[in-house]
Amino acid sequence: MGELEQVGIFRQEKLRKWLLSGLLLRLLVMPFTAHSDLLSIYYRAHLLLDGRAVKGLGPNMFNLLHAGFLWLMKPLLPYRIMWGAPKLKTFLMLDWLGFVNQTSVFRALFLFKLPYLAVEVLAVWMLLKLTEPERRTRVLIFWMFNPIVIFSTYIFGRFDMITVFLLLSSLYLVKSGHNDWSLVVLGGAALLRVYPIVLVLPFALILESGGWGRARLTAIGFLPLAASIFGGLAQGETGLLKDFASMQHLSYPLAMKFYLNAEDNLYVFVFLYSLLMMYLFVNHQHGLDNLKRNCFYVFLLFFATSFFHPHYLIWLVPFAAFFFDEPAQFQSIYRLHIAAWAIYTFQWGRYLAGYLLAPLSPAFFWSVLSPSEWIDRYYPAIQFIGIGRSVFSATCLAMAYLVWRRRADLAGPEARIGESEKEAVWR
Amino acid sequence: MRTAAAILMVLSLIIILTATGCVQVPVSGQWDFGVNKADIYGRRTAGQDFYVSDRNLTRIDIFLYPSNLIKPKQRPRVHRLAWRRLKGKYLTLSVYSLPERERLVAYKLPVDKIRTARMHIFPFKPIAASKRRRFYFELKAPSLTPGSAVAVKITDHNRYKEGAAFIGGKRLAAADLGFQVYIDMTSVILFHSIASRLEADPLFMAAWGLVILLVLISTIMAWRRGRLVT
Repeated sequence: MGELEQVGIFRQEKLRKWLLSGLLLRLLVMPFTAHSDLLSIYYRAHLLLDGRAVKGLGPNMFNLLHAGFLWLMKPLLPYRIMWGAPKLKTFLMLDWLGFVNQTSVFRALFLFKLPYLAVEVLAVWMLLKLTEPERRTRVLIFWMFNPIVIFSTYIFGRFDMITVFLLLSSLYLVKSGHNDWSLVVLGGAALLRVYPIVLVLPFALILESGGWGRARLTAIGFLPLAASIFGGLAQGETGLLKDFASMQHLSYPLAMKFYLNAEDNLYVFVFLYSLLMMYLFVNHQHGLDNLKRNCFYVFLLFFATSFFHPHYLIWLVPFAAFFFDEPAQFQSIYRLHIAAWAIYTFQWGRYLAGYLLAPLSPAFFWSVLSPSEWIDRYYPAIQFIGIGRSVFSATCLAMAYLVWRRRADLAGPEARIGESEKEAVWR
Repeated sequence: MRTAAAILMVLSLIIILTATGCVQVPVSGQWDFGVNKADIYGRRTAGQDFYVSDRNLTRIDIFLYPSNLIKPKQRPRVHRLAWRRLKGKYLTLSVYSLPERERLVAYKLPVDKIRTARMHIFPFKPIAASKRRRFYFELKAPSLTPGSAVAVKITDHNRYKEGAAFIGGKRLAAADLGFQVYIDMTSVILFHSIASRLEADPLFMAAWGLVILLVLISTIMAWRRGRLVT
């Protein structure tokens, strides 16, 4: 065990300055930006605290979680008056404009995002624990100043940080040798955000080599989501399964497809995902490093081929952190990836532009043109966004290629021994 | 690094100043409630007084309905004829300052441009001295008759508290037209608007400022210590 391991991660001098700089950046942003999604989730939490049921399946889990957060911060908020006038609830049943116009909006936004900051501290700790000691500073800088992390959690204000924390926890449990528990936690992440369910199979195929073991791990991974569906059905919520199946989010991974014939389509993500799973089935790979790599491939495939909401991209960041500094070209591609993602966000118009800053001056930021409206004056914005999207998808595949090539380069016998020794040291 | 930061700051400043110069911001009005109409024709005018909080009043949007000559499911020939009859007829918007009743703006909108029931834009040169002042706008269409009148949306719920509607010159205290007034947002107004928002919750801002200060001091100390170690 190295000297660095002796000191607690957050006490290490060279990490602390980056941690504090990142924290400062987050604290500066937190009170001033808002998206209606942040209000909508806390509004549902308010309904729960009010004793009113909220429809939803997996989503109920995060509603409950936010109800807990809201209960804790209730005394610090003008709780009774902050939810707006019922007659003015138009968008998502929320009086969003009324909310951002309130004098207490900065306080509410800061407190609403505070639990995510606490979860991020845990996520960073997990991430650094999963990183080789000599790479920790670089990984910490990559994470703390990553625009996707800051946007998703502190500008947009989405709870995906909790999902990321659960994903990292499941990897950490694998590292500690608790494979079954890691699948339980991964199942918990799927309960919050459904999509992490795509990682259950790579986990099962890499962590076990036998058919029975793989089936057991798969069953454990699917258990939380299945239990919530059947639990709901047992409670008499008959429309639950139908509601779940008809969720538009479930069709996002099927967005890129080839039309073969009437009622015969080839879904690109499903096709490539199946291919990767069969590859793992045929060529058994084991170890945490392979698990991280293949999870990264799966998410890269997902983002390259599926429609997604911009804040989802934070799921990719911890996996990118594992590989971003080797080879050197990775960072250039990653910068392009972020730039292309920024263009991708233009399709949400003012909702992901001026409206995010509306608490600062509602009238002004409500009226500011979005980048897509501005581009549309000179060139069709749809085409421009489409070009950005295409580059984004290409960067995903390029990153997958770079990670694959690095592994191929290391595949020589000497390198393999070197890598296993390195892994043994930081374990 | 410092040069890059300086360039970034200058660029941001240019973008903010440019953006603020082009943004027309709604400052007062109401238009989303009520479905009643008030006809405008001959000597029957429609007006509204209103308050403007900032300088550079530059635009008024008013919810207008097309002429009574235009009916749904009209035969194409009748429809064409109706539009032809409206050619050369105008709806005039006049904006007056109060209490002087000095006419500041006159804008003529061809009646045949009012094709659907929606907010119609009346832009004009910014009125610099509009800050914290009252104004009155009036719509008239002397060349129209009751049969060819256009209409303006009106609600009787007293939705807009800082003024009232006037129909035929008569004030209706509980009624308001469907309208929205805009100013040209300058960077000074924007900074003023942000500052007034920040002042609104002093307790939170003080607590947040303290947290920021503490973290900032810790960050500077951590960086200094880091330099000493290396």
